[in-house]
Amino acid sequence: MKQATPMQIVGNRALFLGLSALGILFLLLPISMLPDGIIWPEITFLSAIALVIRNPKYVPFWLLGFVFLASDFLLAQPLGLGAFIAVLACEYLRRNRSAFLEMLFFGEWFGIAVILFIAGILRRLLLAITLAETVPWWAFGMQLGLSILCYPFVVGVISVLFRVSKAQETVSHPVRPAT
Amino acid sequence: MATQKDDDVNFTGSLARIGVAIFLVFALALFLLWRIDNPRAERIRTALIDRVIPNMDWAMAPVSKASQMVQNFQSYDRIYSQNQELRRELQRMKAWREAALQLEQENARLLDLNKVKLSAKLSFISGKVLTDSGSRFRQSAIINLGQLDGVTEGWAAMDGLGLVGRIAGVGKSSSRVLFVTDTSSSIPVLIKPSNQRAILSGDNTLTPTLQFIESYQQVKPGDRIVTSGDGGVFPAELLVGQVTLGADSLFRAQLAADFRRLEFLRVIRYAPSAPINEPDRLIGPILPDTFASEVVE
Repeated sequence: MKQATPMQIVGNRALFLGLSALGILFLLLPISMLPDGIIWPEITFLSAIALVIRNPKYVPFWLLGFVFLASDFLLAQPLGLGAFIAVLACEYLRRNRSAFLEMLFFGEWFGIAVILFIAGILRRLLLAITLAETVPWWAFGMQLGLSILCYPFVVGVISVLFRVSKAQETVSHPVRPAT
Repeated sequence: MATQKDDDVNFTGSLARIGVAIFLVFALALFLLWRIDNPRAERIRTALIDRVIPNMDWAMAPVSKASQMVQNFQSYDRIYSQNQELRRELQRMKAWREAALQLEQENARLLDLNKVKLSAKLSFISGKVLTDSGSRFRQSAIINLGQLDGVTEGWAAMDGLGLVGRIAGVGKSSSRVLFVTDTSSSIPVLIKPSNQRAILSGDNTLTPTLQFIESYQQVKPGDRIVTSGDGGVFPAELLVGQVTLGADSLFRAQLAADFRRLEFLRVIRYAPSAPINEPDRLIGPILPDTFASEVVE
């Protein structure tokens, strides 16, 4: 593995933070106040997932926690719920990273789709248990579908911006273990 | 992967594991707090937004300006037809203005005859919309008025013509306006010619539903809707819109406020008159006790 230098790690963490902030800012822009707005895929969540598989050092749990907690607060979401689910999913992926690294992209895509589905259901379940308001099913399905469809694009953009790829990790590991 | 890590990585790994567990417990606790003690959790949220959003104004300004410019540019190519349309409308409006002036004079005469005292308490402050809610299923906005401007929870927000929503959550220099289109918004209204009372409750569409109408037969599409002032939170007689019959054969409100262009909002200052509990104090000033006893003697 080409070991990322400390500078690279710090830089890429800052890049992730900056991109997430940009995402939140974009959602907050008062462009239209009409209620029939667009349903956006969960881009920040997707990029966190893609990064956690490709280079987990760029997205430590505290950075993920901070980003998702901030988006819960700023985007009028149930406080803490989004952060709980996102960090849970990412940490699960971090533990089972090797399985995803060995997969071809389609396998990974399918696995991520399942995880996104479970995360969405868990969110609905927690909201339903606490008798909170949930979004209608069609919107749930639409956001899930959009997020799954967007995953390859997010992976593409992430690989370019953060200079990460699965090949770097898997091929060179046995040859030169990390020091 | 973890098995290939060195010893020092393992050490930080187990530290991280504890950290993750603590964070997850914290996030879940925060969620439960939000559910159990919602007002307190929302106050925390408002305080945080109050710190962050007004400081981001510089970042918002260019982007929101650009999006407005695109919208304005789109309207340039229709400018000629718009001009013609406006001229025609102006002609019509002049006629209406005459009618309004006459009515105003007549109204003034009648009020004078009746000795009606109008409430002088209604005044307003204008604020700028900073952000929208950021979610498809929450209809609200943050405006740049807060405690420092004297804004209080529950005040009405209008766009100059019609009701937009009410203040829900006040920070030091920003506050959240919950739109009438939000699912958690319900406002007592009056449907005008027939004086039917109803509740205007939002359902994430541009036309909120009118519920609990006393007698449906007396309500017709086209009737005016104004706030009723019931409950003492809102001032009465603020314009909301018109009654329409939705495709689902529910009575809905066509809002007078233009939600497409909400840049500035008017927050209506409102202090409801104190309830009268003690009839003996109704007439005359309140005398100090010594005076009062002298008067009695």
